[in-house]
Amino acid sequence: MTDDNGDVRSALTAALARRARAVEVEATPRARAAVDRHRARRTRRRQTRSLAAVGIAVAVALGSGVFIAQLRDDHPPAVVAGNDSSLPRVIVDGRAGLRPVPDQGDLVTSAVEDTYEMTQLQVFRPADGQLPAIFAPWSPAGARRPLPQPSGDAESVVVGDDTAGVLSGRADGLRMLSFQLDDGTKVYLYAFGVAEQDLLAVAAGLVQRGRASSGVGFEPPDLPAGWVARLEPPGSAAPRPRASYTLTGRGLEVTVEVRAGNAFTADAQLLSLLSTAASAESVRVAGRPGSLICEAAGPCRLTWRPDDTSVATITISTADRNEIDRVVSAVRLGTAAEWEALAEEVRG
Amino acid sequence: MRHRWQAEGEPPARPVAAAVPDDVTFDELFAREYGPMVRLAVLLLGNEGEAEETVQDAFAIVLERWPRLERPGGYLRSCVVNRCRDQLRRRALGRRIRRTRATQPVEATTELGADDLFDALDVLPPRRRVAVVLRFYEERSEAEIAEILGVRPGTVKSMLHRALAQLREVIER
Repeated sequence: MTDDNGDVRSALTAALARRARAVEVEATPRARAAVDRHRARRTRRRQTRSLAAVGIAVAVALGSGVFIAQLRDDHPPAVVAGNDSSLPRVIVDGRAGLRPVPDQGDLVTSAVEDTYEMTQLQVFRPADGQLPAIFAPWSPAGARRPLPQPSGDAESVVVGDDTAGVLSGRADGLRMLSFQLDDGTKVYLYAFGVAEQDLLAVAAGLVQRGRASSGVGFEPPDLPAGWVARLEPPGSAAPRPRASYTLTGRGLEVTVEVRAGNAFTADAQLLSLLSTAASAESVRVAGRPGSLICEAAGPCRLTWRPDDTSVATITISTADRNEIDRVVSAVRLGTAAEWEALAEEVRG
Repeated sequence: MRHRWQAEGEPPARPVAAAVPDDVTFDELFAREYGPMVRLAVLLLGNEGEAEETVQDAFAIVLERWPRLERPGGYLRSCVVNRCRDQLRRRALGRRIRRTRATQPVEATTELGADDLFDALDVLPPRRRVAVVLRFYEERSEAEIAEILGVRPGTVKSMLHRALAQLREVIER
């Protein structure tokens, strides 16, 4: 790069020096005071920015809190009872309440309270050979009551004659008592405004009845006034599922509908029915948005209706008759004659 | 043919003061550097009022960070230069928005004076103008300018060459 601008360079140097010399400026006290004013202005600007940042952070936090509270109302978090992480997880759904997981036991009692006061009793009966999983009470929509957790200062108590239990409480009056029946069923009692001796008395009654029968051992009338529990005795005959089918261009479409005493049992039955069928890659079980996704049954979606009916739609998208036969026999819905007619239709 | 802008044996000014000692107090730094910094800012901005405001703001920044500064003189100079660059950028942006004088050079005449040559600096992009002032007024080396501008020395050399060529083109038009 050759320097062919030497004249511009020297002229520029002179021009800059001349211009600089023309500037009459001194470091006067007035200029020094101006620096302090600049500094004060910068400090004020920074404080304003900090306040704005804090305001934004508070707004975001409040917004998040409202959002989380809304989520909690719609979908309370899953809870594993106690601090025992080895217990099977009970999936809590905001609309359907507790959901049993296939092969991990069955929910034999449930209570969905519409009252603000959370006084309810739920028992989750474990499957054979498994640790008992526990229910979790949740706040009804609008109540916004946080899920109680066993506190660190829980107190050991004796329920009845010799059953060990754990009693804990909260400052807002909630008391929680947990104990285990002889058959392994773990019971958690939650109550507001109930004296400790009353809670222990109810628990003792449950222990006594649990020993007296093979079932859970108590009926709704046995519960104290103000307590609500909806019980479904184990071993009761499950209602027969209803099924309908349609042959489409894509294959066989089967709609399965299960009615039960409550949505949990209905879903449990449906999940059990579908678990085999849904494991086939060619089978897709579709449901309405917001339904439970059952991991155990593969890509299975169920729909729960407020009238305690669970509905699933199975679409067999293959034309392979053997595949259809396998699914049909796995689901085993309808009468033998109905399914034979279906098989004939598919074969035809 | 000699143009009026060409130097006529005028000795170049040596405005650069001795390096500021690191153990100087703020008031000493202010008394010593306020004038030179304002002059530097005037050359960068072309406007004395704006230059004083900018230098006062730079001193305010230095005052805020005074306990943590190891080389207050160098930090002050960087503050002044950077704030002037910000001003020049804003000014250039304003020109582009108004679509006035965006690429228009100073009024072309055949006989430009030395002050006209200074005014011709307005056509330079902010970074080139800073490089020119630091090089030909403060007599900073290319390496020092590169450090202040955050570029490589080769880039400074290229910027200076192009700036001079651009100025020549303007003043000879």
